[in-house]
Amino acid sequence: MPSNTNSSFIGFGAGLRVPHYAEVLQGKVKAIDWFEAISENFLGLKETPQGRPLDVLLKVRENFPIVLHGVSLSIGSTDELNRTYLTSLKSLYDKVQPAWVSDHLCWTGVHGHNLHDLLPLPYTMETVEHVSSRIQKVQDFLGRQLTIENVSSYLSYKQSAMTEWEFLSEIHRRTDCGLLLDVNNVYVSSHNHHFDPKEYIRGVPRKAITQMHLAGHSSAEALLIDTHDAPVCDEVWELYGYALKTVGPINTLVEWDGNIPSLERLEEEVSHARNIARDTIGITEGFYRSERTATPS
Amino acid sequence: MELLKVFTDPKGPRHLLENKEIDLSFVEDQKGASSIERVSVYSDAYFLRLKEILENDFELTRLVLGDALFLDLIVDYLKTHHPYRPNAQWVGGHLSEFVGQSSWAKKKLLSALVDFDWMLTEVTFETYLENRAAAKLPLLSPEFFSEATFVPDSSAKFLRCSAELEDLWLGRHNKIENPSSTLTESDKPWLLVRRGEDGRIIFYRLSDAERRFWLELAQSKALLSVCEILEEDEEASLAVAQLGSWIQMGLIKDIQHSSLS
Repeated sequence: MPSNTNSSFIGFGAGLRVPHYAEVLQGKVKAIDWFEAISENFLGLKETPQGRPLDVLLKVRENFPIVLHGVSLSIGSTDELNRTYLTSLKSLYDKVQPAWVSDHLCWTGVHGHNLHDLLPLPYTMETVEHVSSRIQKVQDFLGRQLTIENVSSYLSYKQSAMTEWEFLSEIHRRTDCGLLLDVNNVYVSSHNHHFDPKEYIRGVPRKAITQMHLAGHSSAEALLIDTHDAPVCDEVWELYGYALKTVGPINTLVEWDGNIPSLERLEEEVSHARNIARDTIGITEGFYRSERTATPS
Repeated sequence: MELLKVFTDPKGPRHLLENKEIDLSFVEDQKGASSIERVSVYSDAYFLRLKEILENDFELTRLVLGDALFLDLIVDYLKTHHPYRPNAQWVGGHLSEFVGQSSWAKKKLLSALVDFDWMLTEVTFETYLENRAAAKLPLLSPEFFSEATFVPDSSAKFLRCSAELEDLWLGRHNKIENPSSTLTESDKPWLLVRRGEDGRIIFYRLSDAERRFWLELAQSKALLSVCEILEEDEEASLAVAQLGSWIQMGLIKDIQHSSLS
């Protein structure tokens, strides 16, 4: 099977969410290898890592690898990079020591107005240059690689001159950033913009892929909406299997942010991802033992 | 700037386009959904996301004003106070100031109510739910207490437990003898019991002070006079701090305030 040497394999994870805090701290997790934490949720109301949520995260970190996943970097915006936010993120990074740090390939606001959404970018060389420059600055500031995620989108721009996967590939080439391949987002965007999702998977640089996301979505008449409030659908599971065969074993995370299920139900989704990996590319317990990074001390 | 206006103007993209206030010619025409439908996904999500956050963070205010008036308030607020921080939870941080400086200031004591809600949000966010009761919240002005009454769920009943629940269970399973003898009379917990919407019986453990607080509220007394019955300021502060939780749990069914309706 093809190998990805860009990151260590830490297995199959889930988003760390408030309704599950107690069970995770009580050691009731059975099928989750690592957790992804939304960075902004641990910065307190005043963007300084503090408070009880951070206490919980640090306790979870004693037993599980953690990945920090942000939603406010706005790497594609024309506003200056938010230095206060980056400083807080670096501080959070120093406390948590995550396996990697990620955010989204999008803009979230402009002229100081944060829309708290992941808005698509036009796929042009001008945008590539702009985004690549900002990614380099962030990587230099943090002192480590940034991993960026493809977003679901509901509109595209007439001025776009390349495909999304060509856009991603060019940005990676210029910055050596990691890629978080959200398989559900590829599926949703392929439906909304009528392209072949498998062509997308084949078109991204496999060695750049640090992680994959899986999630549920909803239907709103002609469009699919990335709502993260439902189980992963069969078509996305199928695309995930295709992605594994194409790029090799990749750290995989199940996102479920709305209508949050019980921990047991969430673990069923994570186990399903693990079973697909076993059945399609033969990831076994033996692979885990040899490839997983050591649990943090 | 065009997209910013399209996504955030409360009039909505359809109205803006019909009135030629925006131009969507930069959006690619694609089959399946029109340009308006595509931008509406983002504009609807923007408003709904912020509405949900503000509804969660200003539970008391919404209960007092009612849904329609609360919606008017947040639409007005968001016209001049757009979110700007990375953490979306901060979006309500200036609502009290806005109320005090706008035409909403005519609604007597609305600013104090909004302040109270925001205090609960800050306490919840910073110290996590389990520690909320331990936070000492200052009492609001006597004026607020003299006018607001809280209406608890009238179907809830009280039980006095002869022993701690854990000891009753242990006694039932023969693991300890005489579980009722483990507590003094004043330590025996009160349980507030009600039937939930799904038919389940739900128990809430209340301290003696919280029970007295509840019973006084149930007699439609104003909050200040209820707090005066509690002998210790700390007890009163903790009981007032519980109001937010009780509203979220559905134990407080209504708040009546003549000058805010």
